[in-house]
Amino acid sequence: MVATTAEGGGHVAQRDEFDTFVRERWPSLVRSAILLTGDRDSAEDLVQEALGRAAQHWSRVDLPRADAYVRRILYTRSIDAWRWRRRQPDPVEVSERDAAPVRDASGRADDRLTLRAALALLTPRQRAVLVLRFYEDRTEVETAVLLGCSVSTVKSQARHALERLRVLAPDLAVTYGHEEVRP
Amino acid sequence: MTDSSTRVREVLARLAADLPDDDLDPAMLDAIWRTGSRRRWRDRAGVVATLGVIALLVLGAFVPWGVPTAALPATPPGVPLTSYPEHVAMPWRPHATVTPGLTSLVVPGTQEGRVGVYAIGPDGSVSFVSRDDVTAGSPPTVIPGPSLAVSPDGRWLASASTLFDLVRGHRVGITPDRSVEDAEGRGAVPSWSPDSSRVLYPTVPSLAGTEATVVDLAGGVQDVPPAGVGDALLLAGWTDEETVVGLWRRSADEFTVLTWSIGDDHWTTGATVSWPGWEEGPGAAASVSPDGSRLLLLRSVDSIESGTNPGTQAQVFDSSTGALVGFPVGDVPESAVGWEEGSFLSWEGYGCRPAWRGDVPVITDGGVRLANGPAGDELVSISSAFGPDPCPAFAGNELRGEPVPNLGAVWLERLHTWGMPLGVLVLAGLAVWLFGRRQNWREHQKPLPAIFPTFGR
Repeated sequence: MVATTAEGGGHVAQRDEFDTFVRERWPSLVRSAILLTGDRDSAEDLVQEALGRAAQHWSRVDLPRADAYVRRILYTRSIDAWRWRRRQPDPVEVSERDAAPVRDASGRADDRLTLRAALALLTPRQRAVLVLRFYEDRTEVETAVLLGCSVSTVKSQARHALERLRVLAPDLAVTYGHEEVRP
Repeated sequence: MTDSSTRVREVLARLAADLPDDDLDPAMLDAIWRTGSRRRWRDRAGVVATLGVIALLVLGAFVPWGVPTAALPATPPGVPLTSYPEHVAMPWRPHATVTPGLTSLVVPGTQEGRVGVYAIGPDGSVSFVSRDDVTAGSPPTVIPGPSLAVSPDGRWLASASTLFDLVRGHRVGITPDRSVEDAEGRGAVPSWSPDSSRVLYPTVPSLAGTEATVVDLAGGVQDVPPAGVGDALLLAGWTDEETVVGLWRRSADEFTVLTWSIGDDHWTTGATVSWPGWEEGPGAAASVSPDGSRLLLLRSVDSIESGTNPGTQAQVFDSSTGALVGFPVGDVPESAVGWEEGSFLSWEGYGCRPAWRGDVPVITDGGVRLANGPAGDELVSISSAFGPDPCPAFAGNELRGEPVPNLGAVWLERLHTWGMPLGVLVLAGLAVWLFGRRQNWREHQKPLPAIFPTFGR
């Protein structure tokens, strides 16, 4: 009886801990997920998927590393899960014309919309590398750890992504030059 | 760090900053936690189920089960068996032997390319006896199921020309020159006396000069005198240890019931049986109930429906008066009440030899069931593993005593039958499960650095 109570108490504590974590991290996770998926609904689905998997093993999750753990799930799921990927537009099916510069009322190209359209034409892995490297400002090593791949893979994926962006979004590419990624 | 990466970084940051922060719905929070809980329990259940199925398959492959155990009363020689199996299931590895022991029924079949018979004990245990062990001389290419007869005590198997001891595993050649093998068809079925001491072998009168041969297990062979001229006598079986019943055809649709006792030199005339609508020709068989009160008559007809394929009609008569009894209608009758005069049973093809349970005929063609009983209500369930249409031969041609249930063997056979697809299914499930776990494995097994910056605080 005592053991049951202790177990039940531990369960409640874990639940409280998880709720607190999710409330605190939800906006940030959704923002990253939107960059990965391109729209809010899919992003929320992806975050829920990642958090659900984290909840599955929450008793073994080290709280200080919980954010990294959830993000690892988030990024790897965005790349690997067929359920997730099938909702994504196939880059080869989307015309590159769709990524033409989007101009605002004054006729200036809107960098944000142009980049958003161009991101949609990258592969999920390239998107994940770009978001980790240039939005979350992770090092190549951290990116490799989060994606569960090698550093050289991160390098090559980043290079290919930037090369493709140069083609897809020439307005943005004016200042790209040849990308040199930091070690 | 370069200007180009800075530019991408800036645009990405602005893109993210433009996104509105929506509040988290508390219901969603609860749903996420419950999703995790469900996954946790599903994983546990999956592991337990997988291990369970694997354990069952391993057990099934290595544990020599298949011979069920049931407490059955010992039956001394000559005493009819008092039980029969309710289910006959093919074991994982049928025991090939020449001494199957007491046998309730036999079913012709093959095992690993060998022709023979499956001998099924009263408890449902299954053994295989090779044709070469059962028959003598130049055996037929197959053992014809309808010509097999098991003694009422379950110790002897009579086939066309031999007697085979099912308990001690040796055969006795007893009718080497009686042309029994030529007496094909239903009329060639050997018949056992109720005390299992004698067996009646039909012969072809024109070849052997006799109606039948009675072989005494104690020694001695006795010819049965001819009953008359013309068509052969239809031997129906024994009414007691010394009396044989037969039907002599007087005209196309009339028979005279005849009885003959051991030692007599002639048949004794009894009642007349009339079944109108019978045309001249062969294709008839008769069987007397174990208590001698009823006669089952079978006749071949043209197709019941299409007129092309042969069919069989069966009718029951009172053996002492010759009166037409008919067939039971509806539920199993315990007495004559419920029998409908004039009704008869018919089925396509020649089928298997009917047996008896008490004074009620038991159809063994396409399932062992009471005549006119519910089709799904089988008295003995014989699995299709014994053949598409197994023709069983019951001890004494009757289902005597109580059925012995053996559902364990049935489920073991199902497990064996489904084992391969089930195994493939389990492996496929494991593969899918492992594929799903691959991600979790990566997420869990590669330790994160002790200091890993948290993004977006």
